[in-house]
Amino acid sequence: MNELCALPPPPQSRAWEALRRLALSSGLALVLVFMVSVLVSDEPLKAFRAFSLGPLNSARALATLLEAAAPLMLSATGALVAFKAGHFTLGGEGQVYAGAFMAALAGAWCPEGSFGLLAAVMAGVLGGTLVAAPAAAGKRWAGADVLLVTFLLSQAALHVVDWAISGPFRDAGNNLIAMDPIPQASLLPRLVHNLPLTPVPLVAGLVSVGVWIFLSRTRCGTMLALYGRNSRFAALQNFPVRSFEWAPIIFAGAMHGLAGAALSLGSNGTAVRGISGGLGWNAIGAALVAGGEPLAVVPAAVLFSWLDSGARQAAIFTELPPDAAMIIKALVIMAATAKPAYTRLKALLGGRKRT
Amino acid sequence: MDALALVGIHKSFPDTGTVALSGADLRVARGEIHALVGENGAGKSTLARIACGMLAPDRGGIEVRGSAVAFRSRRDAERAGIGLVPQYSMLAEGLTVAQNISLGHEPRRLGLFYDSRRAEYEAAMLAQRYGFSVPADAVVAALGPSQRREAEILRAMARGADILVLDEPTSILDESETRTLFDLLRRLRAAGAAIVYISHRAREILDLADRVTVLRDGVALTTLAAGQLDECGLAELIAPTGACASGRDGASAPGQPVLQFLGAEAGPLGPVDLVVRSGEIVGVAAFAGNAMDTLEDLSAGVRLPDRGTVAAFGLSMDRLRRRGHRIAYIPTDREGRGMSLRSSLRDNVLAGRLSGYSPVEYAARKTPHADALALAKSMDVQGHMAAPAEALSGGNRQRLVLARELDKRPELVVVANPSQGLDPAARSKALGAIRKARDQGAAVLVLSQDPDDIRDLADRAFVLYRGKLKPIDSEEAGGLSALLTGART
Repeated sequence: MNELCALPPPPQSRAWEALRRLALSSGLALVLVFMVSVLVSDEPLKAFRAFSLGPLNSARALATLLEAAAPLMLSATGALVAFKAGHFTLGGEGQVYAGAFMAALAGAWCPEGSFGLLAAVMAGVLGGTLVAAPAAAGKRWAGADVLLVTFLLSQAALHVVDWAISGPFRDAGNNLIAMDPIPQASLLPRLVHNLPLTPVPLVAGLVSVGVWIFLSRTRCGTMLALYGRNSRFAALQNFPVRSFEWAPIIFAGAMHGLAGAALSLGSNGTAVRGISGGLGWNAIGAALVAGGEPLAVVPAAVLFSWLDSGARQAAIFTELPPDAAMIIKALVIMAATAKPAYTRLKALLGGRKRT
Repeated sequence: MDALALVGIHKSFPDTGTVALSGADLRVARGEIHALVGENGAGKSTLARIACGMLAPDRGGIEVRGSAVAFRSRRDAERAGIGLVPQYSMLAEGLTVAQNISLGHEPRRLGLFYDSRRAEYEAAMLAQRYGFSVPADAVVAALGPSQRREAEILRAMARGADILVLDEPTSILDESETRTLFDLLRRLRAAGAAIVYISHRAREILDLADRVTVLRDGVALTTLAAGQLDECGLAELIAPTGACASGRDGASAPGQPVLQFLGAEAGPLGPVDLVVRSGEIVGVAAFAGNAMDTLEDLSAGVRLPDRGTVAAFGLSMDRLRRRGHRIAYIPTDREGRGMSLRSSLRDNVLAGRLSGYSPVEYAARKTPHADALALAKSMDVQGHMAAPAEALSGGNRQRLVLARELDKRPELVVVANPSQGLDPAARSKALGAIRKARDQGAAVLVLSQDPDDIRDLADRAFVLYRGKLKPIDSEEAGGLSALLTGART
């Protein structure tokens, strides 16, 4: 028998590690929800119940949860690919916003129907890509700092799109600060009558699976991951490092743009001011909680969406502040990404002896 | 009574699925230099870290001067008089030697203010007592490897250590610096210190140690007096694979020029004129600080010359990589250039072969996985395919890089310090693989700080001294160490 096979059991796979991390994160989130309910609410049990079960207590609530999680899945998958390539992109928020704006613009201007929908989706992707492109080009040709450039570009994009939505492209007949409505026939179709469920969750799941296949089952994906961890080594192995310098940033931009398009083409029906609502930042959190595993992005996004939705439900029925979700998300991200804390928690729950 | 005794030590690392020690014993007497040897991954460093309180054993006991102890931290071990001199310097670069020595135990004026004069005086006295030459007021960043070692030892001694654990202390030292270190260790032994000396280098061990404990697969195989052993005997004990055989095969006649330096200059190097032909091994020996790293960079195409040309297969190095020539590069900076530490062993091993698989074949994973196992086995890399490469010991990392690079059936091999971190058996295997590449027609350039590598491998040899190449003939190659030392002085 091969001597390598005679060694003790191999370490757990990354997918299994990601699942464990998610399970621990979810458990921690529940504990935190309970603690916040006890600390803040006069009716802690009612608040806890509304927070934890509210988003799951009907088909409609479940559909809303999935629909809200889907753009986050897309964004987080894009961010994850960039992270895998070693590019810490902080531009998600502006890219989502630009995607939402471009999708609303194309949806309103193009002929109604499937063509209009397709054009709006493509425009959304283009919007995110355009905001990401200068950072990708800067990295490729000038060795620019991706973190800094994507952040600055994103901030610029947020201001420009804000101005565009509230200024020249504002729908004067709408009380909201929003663009012209996209015709109904160009919006995303509903999969089930009377439920706010579009094909976006399915598409987002497929994108996650596709990225998982790319990273774990293709030569290019393996090269990209090796590049992300040691670009110098990758260059010496003759990998296409020039492409890896820009392509993952563009892909992340495209995914953020697609997420923005999903926001405009979903229940909003157009781009309203502030439509991105922190999605780009949440995407970074979800990608980190997923621990670099594309398939784990789906449950991570659902977890985040559940926290948002739960906080809103609890705020309706109790005096729990809706921003409680933000605090809990921050703590979950910290716990999931702080390796020593995670290892200690894992050892505690798994009963392993620490070394 | 033993100064230090480790009895029945067990240690495993569940996270990486590694059993490092399975009942290892080590007993070190006062006034003794005790060598701890073994193959890569035998558990030497783990045992040393347990002795120094950096790891807790799963089972087993530790006795210091006859009393059972349990260390919860390195500080506990220091209090018990055990000091560690790690393989790589852990000194604060920006501080002086005296500041490093007193770090954590700073002398204070009026109990408040750091007393730098007293710290320097105490450090200087300590250095004088043991005959160390390192100046107490020198900033560590300005020190050479040898003086850093002295500072590390002094830091341990300043904390009252009379049991010293040195983990491969000569790995970054040249021969003259090694001799200086040995003199220091002998003086410490004479002063009654117990010294645990971890090394792969059989010659060093026999030169220095009083007794030798051989670790294999996490257990102490035997403990012998060093006088009972010769180099071959020790190598056989470490890994019974005929490790002593390292004779030069009859090489075929060299062919066409493959790698050419024509008046190449870069930084402190040059001008260098050198031709490496297919089917030959050209060796360049040099101590660190003689532009060896620049020569390596130019040879591997990492850097272009400031003046002159470096070409391979008739193309300048910057254009070469795009033409698909098979080049193997085994760098000195193994972790920075030779592997991706956080990636799996499988991905690291297969990195050189990835483009050879069809998309379907790679997606199915069966063939690549079998290839990865076979490649790892070809150089005895011990580790799990799914585990990150950072879990591998230094020697296993070197084997991994050698296995992957030499598997490319290269036309050109650039190898720097091929035997770094390898035990005698692995070294013998590695050198054999390099010779095989030569016999298959590759042009091989070996750059090494270890004269033995050049002596055992090179068909033609050069010494690099102060950036200039000096050819040496085969008779001189036999006394390469002396030649290098002479060149240096």
